[in-house]
Amino acid sequence: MAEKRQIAIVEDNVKIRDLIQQFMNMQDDMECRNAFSSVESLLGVMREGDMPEIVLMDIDLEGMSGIDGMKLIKSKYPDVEIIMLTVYHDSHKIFNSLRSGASGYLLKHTSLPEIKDAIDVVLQGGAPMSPQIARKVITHFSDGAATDEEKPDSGLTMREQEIVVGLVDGLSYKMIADRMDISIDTVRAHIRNIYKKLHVNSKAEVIAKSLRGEI
Amino acid sequence: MPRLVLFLLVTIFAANSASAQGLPFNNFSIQSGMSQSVVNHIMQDDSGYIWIATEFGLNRFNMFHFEQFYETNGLSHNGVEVVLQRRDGTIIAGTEAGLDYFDGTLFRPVPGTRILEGDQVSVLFEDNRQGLWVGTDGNGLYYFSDDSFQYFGVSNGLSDDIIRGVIQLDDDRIAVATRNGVNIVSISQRQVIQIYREADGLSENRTRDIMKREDGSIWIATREGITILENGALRYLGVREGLIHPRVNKFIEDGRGGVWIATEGGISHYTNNRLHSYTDTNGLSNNIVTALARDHENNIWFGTYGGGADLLVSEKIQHYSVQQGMLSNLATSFAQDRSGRVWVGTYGGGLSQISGGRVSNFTTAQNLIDNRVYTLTMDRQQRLWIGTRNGVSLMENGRIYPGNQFPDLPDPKVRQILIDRLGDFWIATYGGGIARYRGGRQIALYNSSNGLPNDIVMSLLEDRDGAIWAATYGGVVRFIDGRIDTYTTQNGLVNNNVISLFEDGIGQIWIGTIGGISIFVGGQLRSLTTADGLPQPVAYFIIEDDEGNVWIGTNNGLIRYNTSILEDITDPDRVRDDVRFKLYTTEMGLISNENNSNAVFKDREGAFWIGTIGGVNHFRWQLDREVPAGPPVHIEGMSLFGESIPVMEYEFRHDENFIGFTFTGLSFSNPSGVIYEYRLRGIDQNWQRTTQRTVRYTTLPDGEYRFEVRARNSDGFWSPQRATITFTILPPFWKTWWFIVLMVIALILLSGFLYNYYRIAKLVDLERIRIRIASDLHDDVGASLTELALQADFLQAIQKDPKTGASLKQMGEMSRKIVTTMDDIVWSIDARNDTLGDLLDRMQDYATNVLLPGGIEPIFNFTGADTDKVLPLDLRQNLYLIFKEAVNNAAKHSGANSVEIIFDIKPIGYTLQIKDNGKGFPEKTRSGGHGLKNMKMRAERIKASLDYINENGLTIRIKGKGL
Repeated sequence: MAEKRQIAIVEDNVKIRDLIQQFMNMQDDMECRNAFSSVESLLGVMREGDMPEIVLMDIDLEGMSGIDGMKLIKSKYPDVEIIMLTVYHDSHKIFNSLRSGASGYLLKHTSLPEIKDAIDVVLQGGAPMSPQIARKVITHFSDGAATDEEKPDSGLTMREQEIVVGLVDGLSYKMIADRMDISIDTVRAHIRNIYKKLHVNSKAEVIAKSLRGEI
Repeated sequence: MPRLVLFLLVTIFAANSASAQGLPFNNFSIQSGMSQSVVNHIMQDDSGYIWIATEFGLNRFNMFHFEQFYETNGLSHNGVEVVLQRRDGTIIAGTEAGLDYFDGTLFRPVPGTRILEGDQVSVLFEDNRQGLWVGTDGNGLYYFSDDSFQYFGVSNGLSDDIIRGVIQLDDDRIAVATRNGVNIVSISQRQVIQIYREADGLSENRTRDIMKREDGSIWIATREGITILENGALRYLGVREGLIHPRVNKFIEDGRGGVWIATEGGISHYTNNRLHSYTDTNGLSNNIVTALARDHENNIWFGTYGGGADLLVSEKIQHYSVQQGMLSNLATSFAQDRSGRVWVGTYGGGLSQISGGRVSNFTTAQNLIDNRVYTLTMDRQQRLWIGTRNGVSLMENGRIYPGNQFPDLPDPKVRQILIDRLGDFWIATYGGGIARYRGGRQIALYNSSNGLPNDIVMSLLEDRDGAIWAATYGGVVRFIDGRIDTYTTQNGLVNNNVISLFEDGIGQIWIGTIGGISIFVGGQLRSLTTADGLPQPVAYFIIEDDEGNVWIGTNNGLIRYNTSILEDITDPDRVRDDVRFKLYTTEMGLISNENNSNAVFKDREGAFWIGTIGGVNHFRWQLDREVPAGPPVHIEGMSLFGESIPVMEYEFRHDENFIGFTFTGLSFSNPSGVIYEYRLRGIDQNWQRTTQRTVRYTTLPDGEYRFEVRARNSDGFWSPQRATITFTILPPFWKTWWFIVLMVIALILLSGFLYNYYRIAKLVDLERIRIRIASDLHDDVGASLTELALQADFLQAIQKDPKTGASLKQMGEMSRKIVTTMDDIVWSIDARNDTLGDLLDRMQDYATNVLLPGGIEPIFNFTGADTDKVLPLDLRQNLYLIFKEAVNNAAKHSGANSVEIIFDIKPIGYTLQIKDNGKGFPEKTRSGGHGLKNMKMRAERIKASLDYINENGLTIRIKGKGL
């Protein structure tokens, strides 16, 4: 059996955090050693080399906010994937966190098996996307009102658009794959690409910083 | 044998062919504030600062002050070898123990180069793809690009580990000069592809520098001269070709097609295939020259081993003084003979002859009547008439006749000997007027008794019409047509103490006095004084160059007057001003600022010879080039109550209102010729001019300010950018807007308070309670329910009984449903999320969640929505509740397979329609049913109309005024 995939959680509600951690540790292929109530504590262990593959990150935290924490982790350790956890259904906030580099988001009352599924998807190189977010993606890439600076370098390809429309319609990955006659892995890869296009801005920021020697 | 000796002599002479004249090297060393005097490297950054790396400390220089950096400022070692500004602007410094970059305040290790830690860096080079090449002194060469790096050393093919120079040959090839030949390295192959040594034509294997010139030729410095690869062929520059010393350290292009070469025995300047060499005898502070740099003004900087740094503004001015062998520095007069030799009269040192840069002297020992020489005149027979303080001597064929040539002079102090077109001698004396001789016999005496205004005569001139002019201490006179015209202040002369006379190319007579200049043209006198912008009043001499500029020697510098400019004109766009007067001083290379009376001469090349109290300037004005770039200007210091504080944006207290600024416009060729314009936006809108580098403001009132400064060089070019800094002086609290507003509000509240107290209290309480319930519900109950749901998931996962599992699953789902419902309710109450965009999101989420599971397809059609628009609470709440009711009805009762939601928003009003394609409204039974009644009531609350169309399904339609 391959080594267990490392998951970390930052969540300030102790009960919710413990439940998710225990559940992760019950999985054959996952381990959650690090569950903290603040980004700072997680950064502490990461600095010492204890590197998770995926971080579940609450948005509203004491100290550094989840979104700032996510940007920081992404700038220092670009390979770590981050899934935002939130009680709010505030799609602005969620979408902004996705543009800054998150690989997905989950509402806190998502069931534990669904949380695990989402992590699996990310680990397999995909990215979970809900219909609400898919809608935002469509407006983001087609909104003529957006200023030139904010406008992403590249729009979505036809394929990617089809997939996002499918997600808006509430179709599962499986259903989209069937409808488009492609494999489910291809759907995941496409969604991953769509995220990458969203992240363009935050990447540029990281490069500029490293040039100035800040990192 | 004699031929060999001759050959040796010639060789030695060629090798030391440096002539002795002084060059205006401006030396900077420990005495000037530099950290140390062994210079390793000099570099100018793109802000204009000069960086000087020494064996102990790094210096940043602005021409006035050395800012020093040491290990305490973050450097990895106090011994700094090399400084480089990268293409992105970062300054990096290679030291004896690593590589650091400058963050604006401190030095820090360059990230990603830890492998260099402890190595002595000798060379830094950035290639055209931003790859950084770091050569070390014994540990090979490192190449850093992006995140990767490559090491080159003896271990993998490099010919030596001591690196002396790196250049780029083309996109792929780098040439590396080492202590054992030159290596060619391929970037793409990451390996050495070729090595050149003596066997391949290199003049010596121990190379010290390598340079690619603008014409494409490659120059390699070795311990045996220079090897040049030019058009595929090799040639050499060595001592035999006139190089001052075989051991070449560095070179740099001079920006005008030539090359400056630094050796262990002085410097050589290669220009037009000729070498001119200079050593400490020419004023260089030390003969071992280790660094070279050329700044933006084309000045050349020489770093020496132990003598500090020498700045050479230009070779245009050469110096002769006691250092070159003259017997006195007080040069008063000049003459040139047919063979080109220049004769210099000095006060106290007799006569000096300058030939080929060498000086020889003639004094009373050679029959000169007195060593205090005032004036020299060469006649047509090449005889030199020497006016002294004690009569006139005559020199012919290099020999001086004994005795005074004019024993019957009215006064022995001879200030000028003029030979007119008839061959008459006019001799001006200091105290005895003018004596006129013809054929050796005195024929006339002019003094105060017969028409001269004063017996002190400083100068004489014959104009193009044959009139003789005389400068006296009582005005100027003109001998014309047998009469004497006198001009004094009464006729408009600017001052009666006249010193000098000059006729320009168009026949105007320039009259120099101790209080300005008068110009005689068309019988009229025109004045030129400090009031007209003349920088200095005393005109010791006036002369014109071949380009029509008039040069005026003063007691404080040399003025160039551009007569084609009628007045100083400031360019409104501050790009370039028309400058009439440019002042040359010792900063620009003059040997002294104080000139002597009438001590000027234009030689056969058109160059000037100028006598000062400190020696002779040989001023080749033809080589004078303007600096066509304004000085970059920087605000370098701030002060509060006279105490210096770091430069940054401040918020001062209202009583911290005594604020000063120090700034520098970086010009190394003429720092005191820089003119500044500054203003403080917020108090004065107009630009003020100054030559000072400090400005202070006192008792500034509170407000927001922006201090701005820009600079102009002496050629009239303005800095491309102004330097600015903003600051705020806070008002005292009793003047702050919040205080005033607070007082007004307090008054209003106080008056209205009692009356409204109960009503307001009640309303406020209601709203507060509502929001509190909402957020409590959401945060506390929501979190608990979430916990409950996760607990159920968890239990389900760890137990085996399917029945219990099913009920746990139900429990989880129920909890989640409650959370969702509650989320909805809370959203409509809580004022936190209140834009139209949020409403549209909600509507889409809700419709999708309710309709999709029942197999009904939701279709959204929103037009004209400004998603950032803030909606009032009641409008948002009621619209949403109507919408929910309508969607719920469609999901439960319509039997439709699609529901279209159309929201059309226009400035005049909005229409929201929920349109299903189901069986429509059951006509009789439920018309006016609870749902519809409820919706109508809600519509009324937001002053909207609600109706329905029962055709091809049911359409609920709400219309209202502008959102």
